[in-house]
Amino acid sequence: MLNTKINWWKYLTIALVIYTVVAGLLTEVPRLPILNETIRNLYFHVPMWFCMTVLLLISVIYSILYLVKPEIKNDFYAVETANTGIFFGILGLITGSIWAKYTWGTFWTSDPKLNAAAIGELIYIAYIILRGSFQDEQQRARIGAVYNLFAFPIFISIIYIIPRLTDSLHPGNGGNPAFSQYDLDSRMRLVFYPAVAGFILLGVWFTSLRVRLRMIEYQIEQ
Amino acid sequence: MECYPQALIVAKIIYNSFLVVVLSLMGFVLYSMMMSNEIASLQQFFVCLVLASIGFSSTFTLVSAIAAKAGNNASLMAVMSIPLVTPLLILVLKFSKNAIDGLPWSSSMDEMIQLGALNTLLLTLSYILFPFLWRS
Repeated sequence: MLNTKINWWKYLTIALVIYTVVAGLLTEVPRLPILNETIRNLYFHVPMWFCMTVLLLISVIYSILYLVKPEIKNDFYAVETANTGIFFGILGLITGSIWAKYTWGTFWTSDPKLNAAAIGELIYIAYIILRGSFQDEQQRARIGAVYNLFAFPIFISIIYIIPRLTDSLHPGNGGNPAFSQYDLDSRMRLVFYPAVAGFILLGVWFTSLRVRLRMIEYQIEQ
Repeated sequence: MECYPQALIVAKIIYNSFLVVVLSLMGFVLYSMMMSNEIASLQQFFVCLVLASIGFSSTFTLVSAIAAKAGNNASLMAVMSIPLVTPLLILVLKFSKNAIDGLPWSSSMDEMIQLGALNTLLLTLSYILFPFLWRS
């Protein structure tokens, strides 16, 4: 039976992302020196990283599920959430880079937060490379799950903990003010929180499509 | 005879840590002989060395076990381990810089605690995850 019904949360995703784009570009934002209009990047850049982190957390949960109960579906979820996470990470790097051009004057500096983000991407690219080097499906799934579990705490420590302990230009790190200090009247939160929810749901949607594609391919192979 | 994979990983980590400490001490002696010894606080430097050795060996032992499962591909080992040891490297660099400058212990306390926490994390993960690698 063909299931053509669109789930309610997909309508919610569409609404939230459209709201983010429209309200993110048109609503009032605090006027601050240097930042000026680039403060709107908060609605696009920060949710990308939140979305990446949430997706990678889901990926780790599916890896644990795979180790506890080796079903191929758990592995498909683990790898596809990691893939979507990498995609959102790359988007985060691009949006951050454009923002840096207009505030710091350069696309890339060797700032701890920026390097950490790049290394975090490398950790997950290594995950994909590792998976590619196995012929056997179950072996690939189990060793991949072990690497994923080992890598995730290191990823979190490198991207969220280490930059906070060092001198960094990035807002929210190295004693720099973060979003909550800029946003005095809480107007930005009205767009920021829906943006985070919207982009996370969009990531989940991407992943569910990819997993369904994989399941179909897997069933054809069998 | 029964074989516990946990015993194997712990033994390998202890052996590798010891090996890394010996190798770095040899390197340290050689460098001190050829160049002058610039390190102001030797005690801090050696604490840093030992903490770094434990962290590196627990990461590399598990990663090499993973790489061994993937057909002992040497480039895969490098690709996986370099990003994974960077948080450790950053902390060790800061700690050893403090030791070379001869700052008091109190100023390196943060790095020591962070290194200890990271080592605990890496050791625990290796201990928990190795049996899953061993099982095939």
